[in-house]
Amino acid sequence: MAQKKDLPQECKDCPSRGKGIFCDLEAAELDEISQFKVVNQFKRGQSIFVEGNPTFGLYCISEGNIKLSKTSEDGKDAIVRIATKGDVLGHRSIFTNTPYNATATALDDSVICFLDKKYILKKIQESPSVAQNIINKLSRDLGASEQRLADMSQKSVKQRLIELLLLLHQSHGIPQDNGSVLIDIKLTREEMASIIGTATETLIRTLSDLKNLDLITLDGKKIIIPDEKKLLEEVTLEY
Amino acid sequence: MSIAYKTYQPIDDTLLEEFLKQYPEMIFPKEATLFYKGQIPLTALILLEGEIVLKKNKQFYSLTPYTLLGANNLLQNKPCTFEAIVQPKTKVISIDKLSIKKILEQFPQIKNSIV
Repeated sequence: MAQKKDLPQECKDCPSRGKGIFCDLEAAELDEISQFKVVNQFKRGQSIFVEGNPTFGLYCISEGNIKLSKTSEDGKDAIVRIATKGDVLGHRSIFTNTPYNATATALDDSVICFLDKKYILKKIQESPSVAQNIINKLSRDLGASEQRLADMSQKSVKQRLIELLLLLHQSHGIPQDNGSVLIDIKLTREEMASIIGTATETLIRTLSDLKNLDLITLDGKKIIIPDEKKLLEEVTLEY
Repeated sequence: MSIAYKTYQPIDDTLLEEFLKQYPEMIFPKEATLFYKGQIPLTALILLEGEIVLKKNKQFYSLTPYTLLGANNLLQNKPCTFEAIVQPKTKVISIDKLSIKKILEQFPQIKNSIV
């Protein structure tokens, strides 16, 4: 299985340019990063790193979607985050010197750039903007985690599902000719249930409820949002 | 069932001691794919204890201990023709891209140990 020949080797050619933590470096610095990084393609289901294993460095998602999951003591997987292009993975473990705290698995064909720990720490010392961007990212991650924790206890399954759909609408929505938006990410019902912290059966039932209210359309496994505003109104009504 | 993958010369003890002083030892508690066929390794690894299984053409091989996995592929940005799977409780030394370059210049004899 050869790598795709058209993998973006240069940071300046990256389709996620402008979204990552290194993107606002000068051209010469980006060229240097391009020399040091390792670019790999991952197929759906392939793992990037495994929870509990030692950390090698930082991963930057150029294309694709990655699910981060944690395994409980009884072997159940819970999805803690979906990372998409421009996101970084493994950054916390670099600073804490602890093993990876989640397993990263490709949800679809993904292109991921890797920079080893030694190089990253060197870059942080040389370029304050890299350090600042990482701090910003860590702060946002912490905020999102706290919000998620609060949501689990305070919001209904329906609210959490609608909010997930709105999030996916924003990050993975593809406008259709008729004005609706197709959510273009391959998530199973089980994975969606895991993200919002409910049983798969409950998720399926709630999706069906939303469909009956004409808030979403289901086309096989695909989810289409006819009108984002109506969905937003529904979640507001629930509060 | 794994068999030894070709014959590579293990790194000698003196050199190994040097590497142990300079580069971090890592233990993998869980099985993981280090790289898939067609990918470039992220770092070069020296196997100290445990097992790294190499999968090529549906055959499985064991990496010889004290050999250097992935160094050439990493330096030349060349995809590997096999998959490497680290087994639980395996101990390795990890050497980054920049350091590998310096090591090969300083200790050219290590070329015989590169898988």
